[in-house]
Amino acid sequence: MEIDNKLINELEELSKISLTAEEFEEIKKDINEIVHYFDHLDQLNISQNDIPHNISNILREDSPKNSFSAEQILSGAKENEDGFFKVPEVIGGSSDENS
Amino acid sequence: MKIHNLSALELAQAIQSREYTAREVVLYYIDRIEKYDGKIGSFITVCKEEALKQAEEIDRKIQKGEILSSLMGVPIAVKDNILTKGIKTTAASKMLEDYIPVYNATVIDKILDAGLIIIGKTNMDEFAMGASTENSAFASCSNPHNTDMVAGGSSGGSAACVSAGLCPIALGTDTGGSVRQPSAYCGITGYKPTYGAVSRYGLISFASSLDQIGIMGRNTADCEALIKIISGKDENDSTSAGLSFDNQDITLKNLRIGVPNQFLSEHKADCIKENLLNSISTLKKLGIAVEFFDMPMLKYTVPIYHIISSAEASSNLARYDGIRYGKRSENYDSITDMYKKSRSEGFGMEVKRRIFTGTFVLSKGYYDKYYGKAVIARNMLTREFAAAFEKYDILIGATTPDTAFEKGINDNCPIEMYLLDQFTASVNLAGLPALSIPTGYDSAGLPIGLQIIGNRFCDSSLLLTVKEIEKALCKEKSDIPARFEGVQK
Repeated sequence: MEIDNKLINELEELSKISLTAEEFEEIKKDINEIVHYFDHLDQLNISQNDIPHNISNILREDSPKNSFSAEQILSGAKENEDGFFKVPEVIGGSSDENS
Repeated sequence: MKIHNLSALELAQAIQSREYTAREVVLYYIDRIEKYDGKIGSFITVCKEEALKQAEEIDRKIQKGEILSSLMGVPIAVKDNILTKGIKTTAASKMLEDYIPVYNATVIDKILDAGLIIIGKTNMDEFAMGASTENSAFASCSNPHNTDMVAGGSSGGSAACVSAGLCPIALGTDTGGSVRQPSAYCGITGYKPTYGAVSRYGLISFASSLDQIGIMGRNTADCEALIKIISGKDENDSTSAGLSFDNQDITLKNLRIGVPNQFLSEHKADCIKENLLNSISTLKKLGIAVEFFDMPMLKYTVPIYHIISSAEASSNLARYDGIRYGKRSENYDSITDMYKKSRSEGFGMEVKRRIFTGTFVLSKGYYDKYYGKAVIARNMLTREFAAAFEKYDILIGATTPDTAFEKGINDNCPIEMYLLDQFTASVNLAGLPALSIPTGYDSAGLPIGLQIIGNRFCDSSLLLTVKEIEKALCKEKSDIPARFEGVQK
């Protein structure tokens, strides 16, 4: 299959990464080569038997435990205020196309 | 005998018997790092103050006769994607260039409790994505055997510092070969344990179903001593599981070794094949049965591995949003714009390539053709390994298709780079333990590695077996290249 500009644009949107013009061309070329290489798997004959089964989750008890202080949690954030992470306006921001 | 010529176990012995103090040893290695690492680039952060403080505490304990473990007092280098409380942890990414963790990875708590001393954080490919350590956002790392060549990757810094005698032992991580491949390139021993043997809590995630913390050292005995310290079930990692260790003597005589034909036919360099055939003939002379056999699924290793690892990476790296930790762009006009600019500025090209690949194989309309199929193919490959271990105790082959390559040569060839994982990534897909041991050099003096693969959770017998094989095929300890030897031995 051919990876075209439209598909790369969609991937940019999904991954929240904007490529520069130069990166765009490079990624388009590379993803085409990589996906073409992935098509080797088309040679495989796959039967229902091969689908993984017997897989189960390992869960722990849902019990309260000591965690980090708010101060520690916020220590890595670039902006915080009154013990909260600070982000640009999410709802009602006039310039946010996704709001 | 100089300190840097000792193995980790020998050094621990010397410290615990008070031949050297831990402080002397730390100062000695810091001095070597300051002298030589400018030419190599194996460290992102050197923890001089913390290491000296820790060494003084170790010395006080030894004075009191308190011995914490067989490796107490030994300096250790830690790959920079493993969280160290209060010590910058970058994953070699601009995204995390000033990130200081508020907690230790489980593996770090364990090595500190055992009295090992963290001497620094090592260079790597950004987020462990790469096979050369050229994808580090900070500096590329050179191969101590020839500084024009790459050290391999992604744990290139850990391999290079052990190889050059800047630290006796190191932690790396292995998602598709990132411990074994740089170990082979740098002429040291690299050990990737069974998936789950070492807790991933506090390891910066790349591909969670494949990631495993591993050990890089001068010989197998050092790796064995450290795995006993760092393995075990951890309630903070539901995929972790304990290993059991025994000390029985292994005789090589009854050993059954299998060599997948696919490991022999896909070499790029003749020297790799020759070296493997030499190793096989040495083992046969010891009376060991070595048999060639087919594993047809191995030829799909690289596409299966890259579909699954990129898919998991694209999901794991979604957490870098510029809000809670990591880079936030300076200029943005909305929250979506902030996400996009922070991620676009923070991630390097290879990371973007993998996120795009992973997002593609998981996206609507392509999921079944790529990700869904790769998951099934992974299961088929795993079953082929299981069948092989019914006939053989261990499998062997070359670790890499070629010896270390020149820096920059694969810059525009992602597929060429991905093919470097072809002998190693199958082991991660099946969750198996494996080691790479140094078995010789090519005509240019670059090291060659032999990969030895064991069955799941059979790490103990694998390590005991490799210690014996090593006696037949390797030097007692890997060589430190002459230019990093200092004055004289």
